Amino acid sequence: MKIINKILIAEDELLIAKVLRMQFEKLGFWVENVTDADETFNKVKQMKPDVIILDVHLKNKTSGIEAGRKIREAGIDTPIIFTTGYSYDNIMLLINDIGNSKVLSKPIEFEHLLKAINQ
Amino acid sequence: MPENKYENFKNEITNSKADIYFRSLAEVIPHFILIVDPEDYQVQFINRLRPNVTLESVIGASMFDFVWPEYAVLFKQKLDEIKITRKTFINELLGTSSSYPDGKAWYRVQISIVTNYDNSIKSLIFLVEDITEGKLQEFENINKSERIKAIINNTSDIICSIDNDYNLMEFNSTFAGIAKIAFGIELQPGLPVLKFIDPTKHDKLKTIYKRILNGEVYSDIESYSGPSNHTVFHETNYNPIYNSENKISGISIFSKDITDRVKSEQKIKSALKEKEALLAEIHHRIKNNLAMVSSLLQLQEMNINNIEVKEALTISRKRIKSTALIHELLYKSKSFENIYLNDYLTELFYHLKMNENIQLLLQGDDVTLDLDTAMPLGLMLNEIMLNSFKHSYNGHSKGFIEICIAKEKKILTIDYIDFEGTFPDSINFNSAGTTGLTLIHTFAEQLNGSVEMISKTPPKYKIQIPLNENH
Repeated sequence: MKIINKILIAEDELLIAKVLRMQFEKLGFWVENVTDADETFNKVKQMKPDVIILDVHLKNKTSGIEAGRKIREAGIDTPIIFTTGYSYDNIMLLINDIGNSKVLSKPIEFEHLLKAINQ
Repeated sequence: MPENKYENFKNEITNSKADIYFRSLAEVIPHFILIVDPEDYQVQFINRLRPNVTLESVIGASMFDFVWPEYAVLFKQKLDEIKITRKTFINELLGTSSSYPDGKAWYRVQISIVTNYDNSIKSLIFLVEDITEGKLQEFENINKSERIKAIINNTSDIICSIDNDYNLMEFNSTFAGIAKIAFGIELQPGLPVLKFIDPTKHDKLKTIYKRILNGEVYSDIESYSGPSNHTVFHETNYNPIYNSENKISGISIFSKDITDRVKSEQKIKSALKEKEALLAEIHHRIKNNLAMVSSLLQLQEMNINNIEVKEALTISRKRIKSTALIHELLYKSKSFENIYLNDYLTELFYHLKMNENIQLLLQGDDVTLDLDTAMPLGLMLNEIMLNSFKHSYNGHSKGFIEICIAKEKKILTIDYIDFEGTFPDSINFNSAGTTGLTLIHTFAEQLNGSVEMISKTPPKYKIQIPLNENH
């Protein structure tokens, strides 16, 4: 099992991102935040995170799912945990082609997020 | 004619054997027979006479005394012609008769010649047949046919029939008008119907025609390019036509322009899609806002050291999540009106449970709930489940919760049993001494229902709420 150290949080709601970041940092993770799809892709290449927490809807109406697809097309297989305010089932269908990924429905319980990361 | 000529004729017609047979026959047939001399048109024989009038007394009289006065000129003219042309005259004439209610009667009149051996004209014979009944029936049929034609032509639908070779047989004025405007074609019986239909439709139409000619009935909606390249939609019904031998002799086609209906349906579908998108967006935003509120509480929670306050904030976040779950299920339902109680309980259990050793068994009816019922009932069950986890399953202990749902006579009954759990003796369930119990009783009241604790060990609850008509 790979040890998780670096987490990238792609979330356009800064409060949600901040709270998650604080909780992860408290546990000793190295966390970085981004808010839109392009930034996510660039940061993934630069930071090489161990896990990506990726909101389905990002800033400037950009798509987290498209960002995820681009990451995979670039040959990066980092685990992605999609977060969404939409229906879990609908998003599951949309990310069908994006391997090594999971979906969590908002509001996110931090315990559930931790569990998903460690699985 | 000389006097002795008639005397001879009288003798001839009254005494010869052949004439006796002829007279007997003439008396029994329903036709009126009048035989006249070709020169002076005087009577030689009549088979119908008024009572007390003998044949002998009328022989030699003018035939015009025995025919309808209004036709005397016509008959005279025809008799003159026939003597020259020798061709039989047949005509249907309207006369009078007391046998019919309106006094009118129709007759078929036939005038022909009787020749001698030397081919000279011996007599002219009138044969008159009462055809009133047949004529009235014919008029009725014509009227009926005209009425049907009027109905067929007064509709805006296309009505036509085609034969087994797909040639046009009958068609209404609507079809004729449309064919003229749309295809510039003057419809006429015998015209191959496929001649003026878009060739790309031919294979499909031929397949349909074959099915109908095999006895099927078929209905179809098809789009066509109408005038000004507007698409028109037609709903067409095809039926086989059976002849008197019960064999299929063609296809009847009724085609209705449903363009307005199709366009209205498209508008409704589009409006419905917009409404769904809007509702989905609303539920999505509500969930996002709840996520924000949850994060606010979490931020607060992280900066507090007091365990009781921390726990209160954690439970508040769980309540917010339980509320968000209802919005998620409504969003998932597509109708945005109802959620399935079983789905909610499954999601709620997954969200609240502390470890994998706790099992849930859901039994009974799968009930749908509208938002007005789902929200208070969902939060009430959230509190009861939270109690189970709070008092029963701290740490890693095993647990088993059974929930039985029954709907009978518009009453929803939920039996909740926490088999491995305990409920503190010090807390009175009915006294609403804690926030959780206050919420449970408040939501029960809001739903006009009841919640009671059947036992504390194991904790057993019975919830009963009335459901509205839509459930």
